Amino acid sequence: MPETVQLTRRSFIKASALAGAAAAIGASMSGSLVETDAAYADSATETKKVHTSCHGCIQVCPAYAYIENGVVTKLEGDPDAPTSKGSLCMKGLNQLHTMYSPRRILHPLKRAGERGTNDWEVISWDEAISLAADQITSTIDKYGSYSFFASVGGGGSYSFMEAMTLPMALNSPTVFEPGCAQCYLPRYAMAKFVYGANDQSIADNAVIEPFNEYTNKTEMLVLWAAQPSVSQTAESGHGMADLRARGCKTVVVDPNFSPDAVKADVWLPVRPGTDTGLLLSWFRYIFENKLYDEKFTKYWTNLPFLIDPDTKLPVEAAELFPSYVSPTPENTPAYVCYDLRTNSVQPFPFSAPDSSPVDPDIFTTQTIDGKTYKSAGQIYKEQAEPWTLEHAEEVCWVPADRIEAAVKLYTDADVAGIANGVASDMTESASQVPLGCLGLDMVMGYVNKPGCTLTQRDLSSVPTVRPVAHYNGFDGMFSDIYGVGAVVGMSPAENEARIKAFPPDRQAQYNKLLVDRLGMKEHKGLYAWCHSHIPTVREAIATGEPFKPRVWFDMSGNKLAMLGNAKSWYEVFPEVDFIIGQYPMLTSFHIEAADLVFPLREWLEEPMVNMTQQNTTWLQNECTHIGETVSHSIPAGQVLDKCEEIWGKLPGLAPGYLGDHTEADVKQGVADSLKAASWDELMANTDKYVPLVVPPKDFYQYYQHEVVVSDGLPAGFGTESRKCEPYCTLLLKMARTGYPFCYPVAQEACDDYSPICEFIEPAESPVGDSEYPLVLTSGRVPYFHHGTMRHAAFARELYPAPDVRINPATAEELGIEHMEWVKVSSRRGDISGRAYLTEGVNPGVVWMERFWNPECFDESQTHKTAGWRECNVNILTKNDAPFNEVFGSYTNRGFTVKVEKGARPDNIWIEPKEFEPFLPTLRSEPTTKDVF
Amino acid sequence: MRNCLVIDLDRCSGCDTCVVACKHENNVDLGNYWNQVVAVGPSGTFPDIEQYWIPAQCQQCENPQCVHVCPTGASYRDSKTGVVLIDKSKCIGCQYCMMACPYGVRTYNETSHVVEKCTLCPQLTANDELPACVHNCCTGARFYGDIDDPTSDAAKAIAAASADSIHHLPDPGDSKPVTVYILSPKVAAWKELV
Amino acid sequence: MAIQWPLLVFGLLAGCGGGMLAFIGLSEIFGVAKGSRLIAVIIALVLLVVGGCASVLHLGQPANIMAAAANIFSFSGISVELIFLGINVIVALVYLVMRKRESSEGSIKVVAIIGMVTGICMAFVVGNGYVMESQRNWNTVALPLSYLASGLAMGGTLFVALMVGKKEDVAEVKRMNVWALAALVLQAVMFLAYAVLTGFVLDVLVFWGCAIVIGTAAAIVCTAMVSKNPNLAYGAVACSVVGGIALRAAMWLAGSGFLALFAVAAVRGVL
Ligand SMILES: Nc1nc2c(c(=O)[nH]1)N[C@H]1C(S)=C(S)[C@@H](COP(=O)(O)OP(=O)(O)OC[C@H]3O[C@@H](n4cnc5c(=O)[nH]c(N)nc54)[C@H](O)[C@@H]3O)O[C@H]1N2
Ligand SMILES: Nc1nc2c(c(=O)[nH]1)N[C@H]1C(S)=C(S)[C@@H](COP(=O)(O)OP(=O)(O)OC[C@H]3O[C@@H](n4cnc5c(=O)[nH]c(N)nc54)[C@H](O)[C@@H]3O)O[C@H]1N2
Ligand code: SF4
Ligand code: SF4
Ligand code: SF4
Ligand code: SF4
Ligand code: SF4
Ligand SMILES: [Mo]
Repeated sequence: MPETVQLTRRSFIKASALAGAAAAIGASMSGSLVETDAAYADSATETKKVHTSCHGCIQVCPAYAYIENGVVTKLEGDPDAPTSKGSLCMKGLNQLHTMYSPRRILHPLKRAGERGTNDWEVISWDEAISLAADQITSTIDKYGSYSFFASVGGGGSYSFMEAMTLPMALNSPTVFEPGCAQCYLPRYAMAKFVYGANDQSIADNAVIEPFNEYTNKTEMLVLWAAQPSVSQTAESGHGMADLRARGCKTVVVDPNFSPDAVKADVWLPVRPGTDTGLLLSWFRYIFENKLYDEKFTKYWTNLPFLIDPDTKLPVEAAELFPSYVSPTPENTPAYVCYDLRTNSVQPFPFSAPDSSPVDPDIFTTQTIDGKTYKSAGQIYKEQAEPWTLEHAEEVCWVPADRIEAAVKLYTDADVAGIANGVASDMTESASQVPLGCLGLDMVMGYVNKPGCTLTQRDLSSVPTVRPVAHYNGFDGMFSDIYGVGAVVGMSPAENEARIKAFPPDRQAQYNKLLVDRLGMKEHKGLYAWCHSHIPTVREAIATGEPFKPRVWFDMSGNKLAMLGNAKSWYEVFPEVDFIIGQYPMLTSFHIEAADLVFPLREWLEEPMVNMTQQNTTWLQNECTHIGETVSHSIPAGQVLDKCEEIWGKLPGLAPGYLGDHTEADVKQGVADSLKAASWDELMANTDKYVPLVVPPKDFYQYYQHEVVVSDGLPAGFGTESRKCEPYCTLLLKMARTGYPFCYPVAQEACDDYSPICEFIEPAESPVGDSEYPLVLTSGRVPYFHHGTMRHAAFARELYPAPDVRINPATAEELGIEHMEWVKVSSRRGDISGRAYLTEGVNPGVVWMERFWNPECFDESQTHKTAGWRECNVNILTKNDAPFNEVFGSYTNRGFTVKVEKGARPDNIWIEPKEFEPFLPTLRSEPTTKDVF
Repeated sequence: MRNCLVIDLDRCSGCDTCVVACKHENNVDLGNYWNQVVAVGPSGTFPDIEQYWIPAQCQQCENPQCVHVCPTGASYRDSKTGVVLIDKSKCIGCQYCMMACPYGVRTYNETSHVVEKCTLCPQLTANDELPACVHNCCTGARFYGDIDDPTSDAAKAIAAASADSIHHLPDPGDSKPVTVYILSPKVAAWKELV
Repeated sequence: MAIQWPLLVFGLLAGCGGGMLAFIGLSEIFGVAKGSRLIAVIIALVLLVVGGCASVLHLGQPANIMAAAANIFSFSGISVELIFLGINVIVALVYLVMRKRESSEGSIKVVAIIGMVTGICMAFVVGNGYVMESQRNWNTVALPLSYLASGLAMGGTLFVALMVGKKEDVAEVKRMNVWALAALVLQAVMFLAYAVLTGFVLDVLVFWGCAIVIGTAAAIVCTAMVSKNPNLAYGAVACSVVGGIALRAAMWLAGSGFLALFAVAAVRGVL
């Protein structure tokens, strides 16, 4: 039941405003002493205080909402949350403004003017759904189903699953989001390839062990390109403060002196985009000084395996020892190593370390029949060989003694771990950086131990059979639905048998969508999330090759502020016949592109269960609801229903779209997740179901790989070798055939992907660029989540325009003062920002976060624009080749720019009072019922 | 009794959440603040630098200059709680208190024509709740209570800190600011901002 | 800190009014400027009243002055100013009435001498309210002494100019002019003392340009040459008023809280 609060807040504030003395009494006495304005107090009924969760960013922190007569008047963090402990950051608190913002759209809108103008006609939901369905069906009828495409937002946006599956339902392969290859996919997928399980991303809730306060063992944490105090302000930000207070040491690798770098024991201000060099210097130092965990590296990683120089793959025992009979099952191959016991090359079967027949040499070069084999460890060692601390200092701009101090902290700890942030995902080395970070934790044996980052939770992580990994969609769900994709860890025979059980026509249809997906031949890692390669989609829209996407259903946000090289997208909008958007507000994208916009619920209105916090799961509540807004999954669901009505049958895959079509389904889904019988039951007894808690002893699990499973062997890992594979063999197979994603069909081959971390100098390097001599990178600021909150007056008055963080020495050369407007230009365009002079960046580096300006199309402006050209760092970013080989990631970070004196764009607001038009005006809107 | 905030700068990440929490809780106008967060540094030269943040609001001075200059008695220090407050019904908006406060932590409300500042959220603490900025602080850096009462959160935070980590804002005369900032030398050296 | 114009105008006019009263008293002592005293006291009254009204504009609402008046005995800076404003207005009125009614010269002289004292106090207290430890550039007695000197200089030059306008006897003008010159010299000393004691932080153009060069040096030159060219008395008034404005403006511009934390944060400044 909602708690009732004794004193209504508004009446108290009113009272204290009326009589300052009363407030003073209140400070020391109980609330009952306070006299309230009787009439005013009467007008407010009881205040309800309900459980909910913030959805101001990915973290979804538990919170309480205070509701008076249906109006949410106050938000605060839930003190019972295990990591955020009552914190609620400003992005969450400012929902009080967003929810009731004059910028909310409460009804479907149809474009009434040209694209680029802010002229709209309010239409009914029926009309809106019909319009969308007519456009989709008629375009597909005319041009085929590949003319449809969808897009969604990145981390924190609501419609991942919906956006992936909407095109499937219409038999189109095309979907993208500005994150994906540029966010998390590389780290997520690489961990799966190398470790068979959850990754090292702290922002995406994979790394939670350091904040586990039951066992609480983390001695040392490396934040590699992550700043949890900013990107998860209330959650891991609080967690980091507690962790440091417990004495945990930290190293932060970050070109910017982030709040976490400020608190770090060692800060490594790496030159943007050169992390691979730094990683290799860590490897070299660790190998050279024998700081690695020898036993773990020998028996639980594939580094001792001899690699065939022709195939680059590990040699299987049967290849060199034809008569060798492996003691392990088919799904667990035996490989070959150089055995130090016999001083000879020997088969290396999988076993518990202590029962291994061999003592493998990690670093060895062997010539057999005139062919030279190196161990994977040897290959890594040679790759790292040039990376002395001094060389790393020269290339990566980090003093050698600092690197050494950092590695020592990392290697001296009993248990430590690397938490890997988003920066590398936005560089050409998107796959190489996580490969290196995973590899380091593996050679250190920081795996599945209490206190390290690579740990897996819950009893479900404790294997009873040989662990395997499913691919295609989250946890391989599409593989399970459509029967496409090999399960890594099954034997070839097992995979063949498994795949045969699926209906072949659905399998073929799905497989064709995979293979036809744009950009897939080159960047097969994208299969892990079923997304297209963004620059290739743009190219297809522009040229019609290999097919022309013509009807666009976008499910989130401001594409013009979030996509790399936004202008290149603006240029192809005229090529798209009809563009559908959905969002709680209009953004630059809607102004410039959308023909139809569906109004969405804000998070205070939308029931949901999302991220967990440690062993607890929380409710995002329907605290109120105004206008005709709907939950995120509903417009697409309704449009598909309409298409089906028009066509009789949808052309795509079944089940295709995975998303609720009605609010009742949304609510039942939430009730199910929290184990309540119904939504009504959940509402009536919220405290009984929220939070849903897994007992700590079940939740915190360790050493899963050592557990003996059904075949009598230790479980190992969900990889082909059943070991950690810092030498990532799967990448090689993937490049050659699309394995495991396209299995049983083979995808056309591309150049091999690098199986280990290799150094990549950014394509636009400040070294030798005299025209654009500085290197720009970015990172989160606590005021905004992606494109959101730019219309939250309390955020904008504090941070009205983007800081361009620049070293004072550089600024002096350029004649630029603190807070002076500057022009920042790259080879793609130029924008404005305000110089923030700080010793916190290298003199060769500038740092600037994404921005867009919704005030630019405020009614009060004489010169209206869509607000995405003025201060948007994505005017500068680079979306052309070279891409990351595996994932096709383009370059949002670590490219070159120049900075000059500039001027404030005349339609940008800076002064606090200028933001008055953004203050909430919709509090008197009546609360409304579900539309669908 | 000396009620105040105690702020642990070893924890504070400068996220500005306390500023916004206060504004929502107390309906503070655009452009006005009852608290603000100021960056101290980075000091030093790249890359050998250090930094901390000062979340600033009324320091609840024992000898408050703002009270001494107030012509109407609107500004006063409650001798029982130690809290410095403004009786808005008496305030004539002359703003002398703003000039007299050594820390510049008062704000003039152009709508109601009175001066305002941190009240320590009596509307919450009277109900045994925490001030909004304390409740929502993203690093658990803020503590509220009577520093003379060893059982209060504020006093406990001070007791848990080592002596060389306890700081007050510099006091140009004899204001005796009560608010305590905790900053340990290993995080950054406290800068005497004079 | 931004220049608070209502307060600047108040300090300027009330200081000048106080200075006028002081010079009326002086003329009574010397028994000179008989034809100018009446108009002088009327002008002084107008300056005090208009100045008082200007200060009200600084309050949250003009009506709040009643609350300030009701708390007159708090002896805060503002109430002391109010007290002296009231006293000076009363003394000036009494003087005016007595002069009109042609009361005995002896009693008028007593009132005038009282007015001299209260006028000097007035010119001092309009600056004294700003002496506070939180304002490092105001926290010196040189500030109210500068206000005092400025008030006397403006009052003195204005009084002399009135005499010139009234075509008073040249010797009498000369006699009073010496005292106006003295006030300006005092101003020079006080202004410089203020600049030195605040460590030369005052705005160069406003303080050195306007307050020192125009408001003091040029005023001194004019005053010194009044005997040669009486019309320069008007120039001296203009210069000393410029000086008075400039001093006060410079004070506001140099006003910054000991640690103006919100002001620093508002410009994304860093300590
Ligand atoms: N406030 C806020 N929080 C957010 C978001 C938001 O938009 N705003 N977005 C959410 C999403 S989707 C994500 S993906 C996460 C990301 O969360 P994080 O991974 O913490 O991401 P960032 O802060 O973008 O980047 C981390 C750090 O990388 C640094 N960096 C930049 N270039 C380089 C480089 O070349 N090498 C290294 N080593 N470091 C570099 C930046 O300076 C920054 O401090 O945040 C989530 N949380
Ligand atoms: N230059 C540069 N570009 C970048 C990045 C960078 O660091 N630098 N970061 C990249 C990364 S990591 C990412 S993840 C992407 C993010 O890019 P996007 O996610 O496209 O960002 P937005 O357009 O702001 O919109 C997404 C936000 O809208 C809100 N939202 C979405 N759906 C709904 C809904 O149904 N209801 C409501 N109420 N709100 C909704 C969510 O808060 C969500 O996070 O940007 C990428 N672009
Ligand atoms: S960290 Fe994210 S989810 Fe948590 S309070 Fe802040 S915005 Fe909300
Ligand atoms: S900090 Fe300023 S406002 Fe607060 S009591 Fe001290 S002088 Fe007064
Ligand atoms: S503004 Fe109000 S509180 Fe401040 S000194 Fe004047 S009357 Fe007192
Ligand atoms: S204690 Fe209350 S009034 Fe003071 S800063 Fe915090 S939230 Fe604002
Ligand atoms: S909310 Fe807490 S961590 Fe954030 S700035 Fe304020 S005191 Fe610091
Ligand atoms: Mo992201």
